[in-house]
Amino acid sequence: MVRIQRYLRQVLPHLLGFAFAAITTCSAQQFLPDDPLTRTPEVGAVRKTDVQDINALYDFAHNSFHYKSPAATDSLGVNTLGEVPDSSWFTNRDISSLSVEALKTGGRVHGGPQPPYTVVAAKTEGVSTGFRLRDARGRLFFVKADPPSNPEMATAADVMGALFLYAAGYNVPENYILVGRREEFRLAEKATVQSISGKNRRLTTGELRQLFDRIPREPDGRVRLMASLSLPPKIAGPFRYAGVRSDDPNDLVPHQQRRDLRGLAVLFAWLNHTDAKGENSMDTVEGEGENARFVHHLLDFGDSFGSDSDIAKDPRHGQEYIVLPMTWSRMYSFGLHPTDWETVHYPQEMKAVGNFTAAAFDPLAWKANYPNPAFVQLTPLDGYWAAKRVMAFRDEQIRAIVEEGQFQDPKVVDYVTRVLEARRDAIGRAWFRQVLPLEGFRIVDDHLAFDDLAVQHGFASPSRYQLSWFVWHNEAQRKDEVSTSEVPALPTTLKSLAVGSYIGCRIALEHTDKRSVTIYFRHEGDNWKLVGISRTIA
Amino acid sequence: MRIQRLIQFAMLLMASSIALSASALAQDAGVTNDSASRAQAVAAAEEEKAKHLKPQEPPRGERKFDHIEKGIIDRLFNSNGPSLKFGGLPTGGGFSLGPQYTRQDLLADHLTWNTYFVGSTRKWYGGESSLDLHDLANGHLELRTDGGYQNAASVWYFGEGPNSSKSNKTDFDREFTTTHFSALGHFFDQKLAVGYTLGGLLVHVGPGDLSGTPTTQQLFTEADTPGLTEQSNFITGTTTIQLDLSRAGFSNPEGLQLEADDSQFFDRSGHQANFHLLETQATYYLPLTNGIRTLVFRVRNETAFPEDHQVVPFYLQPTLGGPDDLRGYDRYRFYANGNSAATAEYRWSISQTLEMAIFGDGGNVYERPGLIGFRDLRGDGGIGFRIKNKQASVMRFDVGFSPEGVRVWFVFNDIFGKFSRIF
Repeated sequence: MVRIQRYLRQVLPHLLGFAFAAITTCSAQQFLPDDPLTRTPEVGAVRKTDVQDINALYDFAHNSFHYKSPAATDSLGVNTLGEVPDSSWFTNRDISSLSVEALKTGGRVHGGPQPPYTVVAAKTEGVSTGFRLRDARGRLFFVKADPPSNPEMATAADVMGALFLYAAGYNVPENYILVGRREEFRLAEKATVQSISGKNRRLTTGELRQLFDRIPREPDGRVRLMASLSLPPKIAGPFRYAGVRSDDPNDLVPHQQRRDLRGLAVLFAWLNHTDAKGENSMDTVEGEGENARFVHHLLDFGDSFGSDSDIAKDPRHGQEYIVLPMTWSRMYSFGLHPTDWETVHYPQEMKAVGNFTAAAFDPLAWKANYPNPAFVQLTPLDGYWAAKRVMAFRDEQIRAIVEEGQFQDPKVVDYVTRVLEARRDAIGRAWFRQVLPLEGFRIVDDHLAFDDLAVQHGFASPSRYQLSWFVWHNEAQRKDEVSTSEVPALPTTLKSLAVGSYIGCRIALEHTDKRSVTIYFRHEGDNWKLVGISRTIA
Repeated sequence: MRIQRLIQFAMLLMASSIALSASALAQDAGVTNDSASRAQAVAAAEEEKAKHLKPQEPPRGERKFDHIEKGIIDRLFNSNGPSLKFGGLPTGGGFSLGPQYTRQDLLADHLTWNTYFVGSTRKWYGGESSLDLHDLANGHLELRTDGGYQNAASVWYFGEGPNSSKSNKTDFDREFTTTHFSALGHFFDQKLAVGYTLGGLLVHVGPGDLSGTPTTQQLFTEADTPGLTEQSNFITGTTTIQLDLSRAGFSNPEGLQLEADDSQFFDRSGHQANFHLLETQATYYLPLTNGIRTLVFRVRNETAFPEDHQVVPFYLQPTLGGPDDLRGYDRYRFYANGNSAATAEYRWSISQTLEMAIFGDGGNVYERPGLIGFRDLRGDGGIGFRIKNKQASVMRFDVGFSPEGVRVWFVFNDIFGKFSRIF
């Protein structure tokens, strides 16, 4: 009986995935009237939730030693264009059109903490110094400090990371830089700290003083902290990068097959956010009664960029997993043949940067601290989707977010911006080679137009494309070839098709390149609507 | 019931997915009802799942691990309550284990009480009870008192001086009963620590219990081995200065660490064993290739200064040899009133949790302070593995090669640690 239960538990997520696949992607070539879906309905109300915990040690050990990467499968939870519809996980924000002000604000709609600050508890989790406080408006903030060795590094990373990921489409907490005078911080009468025994006890003024002694000061003596506004309102614990929540009616796609979660591997590579574990996330329940829904957040970006929270980033992070299989060549070579990344130069003179560089950054080989079940299943299509989002950040937008790190030294802003630009371009170059990076398909004046992102970003010179037009019989899932040419004009026979008809076009490069894009349009009377895109990979 | 519900849910899911696929196929064949939209199809699947929600649970493996962690591991390694103690005996005791009771939550986490008793595979045993008041004066002061007993049943002794013969290997039983009262101040952002420890030491030395090895009493006499038959009891006073100028690195610290201990021994038994022992060491960590490789150098000197017409009992003499200095030689291979040792290690990282090292050790012993120098140098070389956490070795496996043979060490410490005091 127990075995049957176990078997069913193993099978259920796959069944859910199959169901969703049947709904969304398996039928990618058979279009429904509302394709492409732009928002996942998420109609199911959350009834009862339990706070989920992730055992950090098990998660590390299981994924490092036991987890076998399954053969990469197609992502689910995507629409017929291969895009991720809006959902409680992800929101399609049009990065390129976001103003500098909007980027700087991000999701920070409630404003930063207001003095005086009342410390209500000391932080016992994680490696960096921290505590919880309530501001003058009674709002609860989780507060973290920089390590004395690298002032500004971790606090800036937490703020910048949240802003970049928010702009990219994810849910993140509101993270602010808090610079305040020591006397603005008071100890609440009932402030607590978790004792070694695990029980809460009173936090004393002496302990608070000691805590503040460890916090680096600004030149004018003020303390600098990162304050993260407590997520509203009901916490349900972190999400896992595998499986589904059994108490969430709308969580149908196994997380390791979600494109938005797989694609995080590329975004995290850009930001060098190596601590990509489930524990650094949080599910909340928002709304009441029939409107209660899970919302999935990413948390804790203090180990992004050049920061490892309590120390500058270990150069190995991002390059290799913490636990490696026995590497005999490294053993018998006595370490005399360093790899590229071992010898790169880090800006030691800029402590606020930590160890952050674009040198020896290989976007396709970047790794989190230990295998992440979603990241190890990243496919070229997932990578391409995420790379598009990374490449959408313009130089001035990157700078605007980096400025929100509030570095004292403008050289640090320049440096971090330059590195992010270089890493962004490396990501574009790498992932835009994996597929034919054509976007923006439209039929205007009976001519097909599109943009080659590789050309647009200067990674490739303009190419000549071969266009193979066909009529698509949606109900039969069959195509009738019409013509092939290099001319983007719509073949005459297609122009006369009835409203509701489907046509398609396979676009390939002229030379022997395996990459191609097939696009599908539906005739909607006065225009042709793009309803489907499928791509082949290199 | 639970299985029935699971099966029911699985069947419904399969049915709904097939139905949804079918409706998707059918929509262009004229089925234009409402359910033929993508959004409604997804919504239907969500509604279906909503009927079969169940509480979120960790995966089965994690639940089992949780159970083991909470039920067994946390109890065995409980940092606040009864637990198992590993180690706790002087080097050479073998694998040791025993019960321990710790309270770290006393006086608002400022007082730690620890009591343990351990026995080892070599039949050594010992115990200690301590009270440690820490984080006083805003983290600047630590006060400690302890009382302990150790019975090292088979400590090796080869005779005194640099020319002691390996073939004269003997063993003796060393019983130390100790008590200490100490104060340690931390200054300059914890970089400087200065302290004083007042202690008492009761000694008993007897024949060792190692079979096949003669006892020290069989081969040596009181004349050539002071303290062999007449043991003293001591009042001890130790001044400690530690200056840590290093900073955290990726595999090892980076920079200089200095330590000096001076221990005064006042013989309270009238056996003319008044002396003081000065121990100094400097360790320098030089990071290479962004700290992924490290060169470590350590020089160390331990010299005992007997007062006029006084002696240093052999059981308190500095020794050389073993996993912490001359790794190609036996433990306690060389006894004398003074020794110098230098070690160089080149460490390279295999992964973030495994490091390898090649090393060379050199050192000599001398009979009185005036003979300090390079005569009678002994050296060795070797290779080792270290299982790491972020900064320190958790375990190390060293193989040392010397003219006296090959020695293999599997120990749970960092070779470049602080002085460990046995008295």
